[in-house]
Amino acid sequence: MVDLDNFPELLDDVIEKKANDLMLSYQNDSEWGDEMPVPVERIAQNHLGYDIEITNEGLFEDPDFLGGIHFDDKLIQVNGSIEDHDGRYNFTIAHELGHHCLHKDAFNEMSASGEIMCRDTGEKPIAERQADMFAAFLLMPKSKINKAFTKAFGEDETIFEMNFKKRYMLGSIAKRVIDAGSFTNVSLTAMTNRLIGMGLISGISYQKSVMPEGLNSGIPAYLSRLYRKLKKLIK
Amino acid sequence: MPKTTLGEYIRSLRTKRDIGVRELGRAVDVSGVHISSIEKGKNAPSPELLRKIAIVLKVDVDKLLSMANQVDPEVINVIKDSPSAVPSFLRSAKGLSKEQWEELEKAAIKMSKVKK
Repeated sequence: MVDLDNFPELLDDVIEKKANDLMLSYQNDSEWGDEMPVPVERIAQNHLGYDIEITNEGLFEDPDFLGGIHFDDKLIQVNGSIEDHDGRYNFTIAHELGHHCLHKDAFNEMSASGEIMCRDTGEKPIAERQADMFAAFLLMPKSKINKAFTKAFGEDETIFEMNFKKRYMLGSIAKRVIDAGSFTNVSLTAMTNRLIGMGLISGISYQKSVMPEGLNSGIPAYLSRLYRKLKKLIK
Repeated sequence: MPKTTLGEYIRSLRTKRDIGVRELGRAVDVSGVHISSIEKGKNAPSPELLRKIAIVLKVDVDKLLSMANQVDPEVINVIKDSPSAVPSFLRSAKGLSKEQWEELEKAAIKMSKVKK
């Protein structure tokens, strides 16, 4: 078993360039312009020749195992539990493409099994963090984010200063950028973290999960629903 | 050369048509997990599902059914309607060439039009 922490550090710029190179080579190889969303499934399938399998079997009975890549078999596996979450589904495929672009050669030298299975728990090893970063760069290219951000919030160099109390605003900021830039295969959390990474939201660290707009008001939406249900039952 | 399985055939058509596994699932009202398991040969699709897949992938449904060792339910109904005549006819036509089958098909189409 390869230690996923045993990979060299890579500069963010290097990872970003690898993501942009992949996008460019797909652009040259297909009819895709550079319109959003980035079709990561097609890049994996048609450009790099990976088969995509969605499965709940074996390791994937555990919902923490979101995806895996088998370099020799040219197979990317995605956990069936995230099939209906467009953001998580596409991020997982983009993450596995990150392993293909960043780690395949080094990995093949270290391991006989030729596969990486990716688990979403606790502190991630370096290779997983790099693949996450690659996925963010691939799905949300810097120039497209800047354009969408300006479209959503105007020309002046807006930066959202955040603190814990203002945390409820994150979902709606991310949603406006997603809508403005047609990043339809990206989750609110991924977009929020990209905006934090680009310094367009400051004063707050990367988020594990961001609430959707419905939860931004004083009373969270699920509590409102619960209240309505209880009221109905009492009647 | 090993024979192509139904799953491999569906996967190759899907890739050729530039359709994702989840996308195909959505187009035929099943999950991507189900499509993946068919492509991996872990699950046998129903004739109804094969019919839907054939429409999306623009392929002859009879080819998919034959690869799945299945018969179109419509054909089964034809046999049920004439339980003696159809098997008897098929037995006597056993040795016919491809061209002769085509002739027969044309004749059958002509006869059914006349009947109408």
